[in-house]
Amino acid sequence: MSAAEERGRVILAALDGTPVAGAALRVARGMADLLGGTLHVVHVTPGRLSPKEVRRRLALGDEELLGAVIESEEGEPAEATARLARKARPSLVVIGRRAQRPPEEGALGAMAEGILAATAAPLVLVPPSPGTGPYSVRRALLPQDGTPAMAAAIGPAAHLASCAGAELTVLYVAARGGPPQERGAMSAPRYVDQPQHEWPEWVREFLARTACGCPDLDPARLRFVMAHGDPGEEILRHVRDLRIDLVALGWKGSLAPARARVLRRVVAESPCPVLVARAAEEGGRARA
Amino acid sequence: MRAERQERGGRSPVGGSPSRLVEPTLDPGWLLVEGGFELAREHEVESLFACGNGTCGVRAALPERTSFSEPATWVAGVYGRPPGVDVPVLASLPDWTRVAVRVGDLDLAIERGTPIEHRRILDMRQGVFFLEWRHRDPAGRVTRVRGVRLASLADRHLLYQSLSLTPENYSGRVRADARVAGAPLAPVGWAPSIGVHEAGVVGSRAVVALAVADRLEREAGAPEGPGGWIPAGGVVEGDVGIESTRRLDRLVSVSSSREGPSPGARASRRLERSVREGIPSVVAAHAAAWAARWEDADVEVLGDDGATRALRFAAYHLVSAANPQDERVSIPARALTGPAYLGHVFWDTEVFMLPFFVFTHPPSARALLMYRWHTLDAARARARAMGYRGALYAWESADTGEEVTPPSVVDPEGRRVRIRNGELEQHVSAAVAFGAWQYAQVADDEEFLAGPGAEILLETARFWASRAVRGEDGLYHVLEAIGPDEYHEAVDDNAYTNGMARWNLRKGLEVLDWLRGRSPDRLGVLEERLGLGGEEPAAWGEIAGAMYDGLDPASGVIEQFRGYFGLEPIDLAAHEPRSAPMDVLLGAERTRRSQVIKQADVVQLVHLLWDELPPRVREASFRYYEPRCGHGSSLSPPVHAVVAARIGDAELAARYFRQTAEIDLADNMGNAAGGVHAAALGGLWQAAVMGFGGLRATASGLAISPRLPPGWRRLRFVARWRGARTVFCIGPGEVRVDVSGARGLRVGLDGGPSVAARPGRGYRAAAVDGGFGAWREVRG
Repeated sequence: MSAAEERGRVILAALDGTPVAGAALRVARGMADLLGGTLHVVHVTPGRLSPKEVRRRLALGDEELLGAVIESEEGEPAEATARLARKARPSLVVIGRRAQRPPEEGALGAMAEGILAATAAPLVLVPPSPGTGPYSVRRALLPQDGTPAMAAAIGPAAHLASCAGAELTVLYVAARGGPPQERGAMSAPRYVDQPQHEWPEWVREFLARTACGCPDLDPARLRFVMAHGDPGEEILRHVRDLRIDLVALGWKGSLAPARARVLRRVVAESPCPVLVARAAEEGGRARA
Repeated sequence: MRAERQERGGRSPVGGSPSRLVEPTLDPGWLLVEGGFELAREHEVESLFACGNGTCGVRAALPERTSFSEPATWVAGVYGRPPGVDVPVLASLPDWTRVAVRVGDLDLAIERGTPIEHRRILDMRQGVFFLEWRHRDPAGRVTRVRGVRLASLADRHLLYQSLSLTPENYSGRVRADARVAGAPLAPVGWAPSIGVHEAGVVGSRAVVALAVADRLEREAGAPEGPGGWIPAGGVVEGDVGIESTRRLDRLVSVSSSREGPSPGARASRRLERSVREGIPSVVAAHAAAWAARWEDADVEVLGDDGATRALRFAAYHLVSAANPQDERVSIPARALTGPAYLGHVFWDTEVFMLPFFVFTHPPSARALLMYRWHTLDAARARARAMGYRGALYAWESADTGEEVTPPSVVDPEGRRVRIRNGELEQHVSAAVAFGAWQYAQVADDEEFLAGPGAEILLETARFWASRAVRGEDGLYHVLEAIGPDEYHEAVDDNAYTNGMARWNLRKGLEVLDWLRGRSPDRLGVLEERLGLGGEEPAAWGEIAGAMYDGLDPASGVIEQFRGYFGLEPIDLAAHEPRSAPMDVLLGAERTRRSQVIKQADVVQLVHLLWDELPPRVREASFRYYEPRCGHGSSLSPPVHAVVAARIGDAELAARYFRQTAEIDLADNMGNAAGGVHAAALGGLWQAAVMGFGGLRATASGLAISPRLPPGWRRLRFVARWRGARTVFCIGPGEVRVDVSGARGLRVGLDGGPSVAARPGRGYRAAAVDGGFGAWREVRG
């Protein structure tokens, strides 16, 4: 048994006691159930608290926390959560996304950015009202830009969706701009010599590349949708139209003002949880 | 695609190395190198590095395979109909290239463990695919693997693969499982080292077969078994010591039911001969065949190594795709390198690829045209079924020549789109006629022109005569057609279609006149067989003379089709940079109502009928359409390169040349995963030779019109004309031609005088005041 297997899967939910924490907890529990993992609930305060006190502060009952490990960290929330994430090496970190966020907190919020910077674990950002009842993934959207790095990043989401038996839709948005410079990338076909041949072949290849190296994805079971226009707008439109309950986005590690515009927009406006997985800057797959 | 300088210790094309019998060419200009390993690129690399010989095309899948490998060996001319597919699909052979290697208790796999070094090399000079790989497995064992694969150009039914393995830091048990399609081979009674595998083609009565012989070579020259050949089976196992090498060689002979009954027995007999000759002879003959082809096929650019490599890549795949010995097959859109386009044949062959063969290897050109002659009956039937006379070639053709265009497609946005090309894109018939005429003129193949060529030209002319309708304006019109610009369907008087129809009608008459003078008996037989006589041909001249041409006399621009000038103008530059085609960005409906065109249409006409159009019309039309073209087809950039160069805009031409070269060779578009773009490859050759070199055939020889792009210090190419072989060396300061072969020819030079060049002589003309001075004979 590997060390990771011995530790078991940990799904870390960082809860701050605001109303959105309830939504985050519901999603985290649903994901823990899907993955067969243990839910760890962490609450950060200036001083360390007992588990009972954490439960009281979060205003959560025994039933809501059944089976969860309660952890208290002291310090500044973003930093302390990141520290714990580094230590616990969770499969996923789940946090709530506040409806309004002060601009000084950065593109995704200090908590989200701190966690993403500290750990390779994917981060799930839960909107304030992602529905009611137990959370499960029935329809997942995997927006892809055709780069190997982004394809590699969706592994955790694919695994989650696979555990849930969810329908997976790969979305490609043909947008302005030249082809990606990353080696092995595949953009919309610049040349469609004969659409009756080119499109089926292109879709087949695009899905095969998306799925390659990701054992949970069967290209034959993926649904493919192509759109054109603004990628953020199109992703959000498809989330609504297809009644998506999980979006998985790759993130190439920069939140500079001119970067990650799609990520910022989708995280800010998505009505369903958004899983953000770190993608390699270039190439996400085996290379010699 | 990276070009890596190879540091090697000498070339031994055919030697006794324990790891392989042939080594890569030393000159990096002949090598395409994929260094490293990126799983997502596998399908592209397999296409780009494919080996072929016109009978088979073998994708460059790694012998040990990856989780993303898509191996295939396509068989030219053999088609099946897999379940769920409505049209014929090119057949492939059972998988013969896989070698699953097990070291100890672990499979040797690039995705397990750590690749220390991984490099694939396509040696275009020798037509050989090389693999070089060093791998540390999860147990820490380092293994060196070297591989070779080729499709023999000397014996087009023969394939060869070798895989050698050397443990670097261990000794142990190694097992290589090379069973064909994972199944044991049936040994042939008279030659126990030869195994045979026959397989039916799905949805067809066709059978493909391969005979296999394996040989195991050990270091120190002690091969296993008699002569090293081992019993048929495909599995070998044994202990291997540190730095000791084992090499598994495999010879494969291919046959199919196209050649007659019992393909397995035929393949076995052929293979037995090759086994007797030995692998070194097989490899040497193959390398010699490639060397001979490169004598004429190579185009060299001094000052632009990338251009030279791209041109060699183009020629390599064109040579690999054609078979001068088989006139029942043509070259599919993706050659024999990938599954896309299902092995279907388009006008791509005659318009884009054929000129390369016409000028560098006429027998291949002839075989390609004979495919069209053999499928003429299907073209006649198609014309008849649509209410026309003569021959209407299929937009997409497979083995029989029947129309096999899929009637619809679901686009990636989920809409089912009707495909009307098979019904309305009829200019393919003129393209076939154009190719036949061009070949006959350049090769001086009177036998072809008097027989199959005439039949093609007459039957296609006859089609256009029945297709054009006389309007109230007294002119003839081709209504409701699709031209090369497929963004605009069912248009009236598409300029390209009308222009080529007019050309076709006139050439029909010309060939009749020629036959009348040269071989009246043959003409009589042909007329009787085709039922051609009386007033019918006489009408062709009238129709051609009154064909609507769309020319706007004021501007000199030919209107692409009636009503085009009134469509919505779109500023394409405002949409750059982009990676998606314009019809995706604008939507099909808006594109249809706009002036955005998919590909060269009027510009294509300018290219093909250059000598028939006034210079003002050529340039005005090019300048008008060039900014309106979205280049949504890979066929478009090379034609723009040719025409831009010929009107003197070498800089613009160079841009289109680079764009064409990148269609397959850029490593960030995924374009080539389904196979190489054979038409664009032919177009690249045309851009260099017919664009920058300005080569064209005349009645008395060849003429050039050099327009070298910035940075090109010399362009060297070979062109054949009626038994004369001419080497052109074009530099900024002078032009040199060297003639060899059975006869001389007149070499023309735009901006200078022509010369009656004799075989065995060289001539030089120096650049003078924007033109060229007199030719001078040179010695040596």
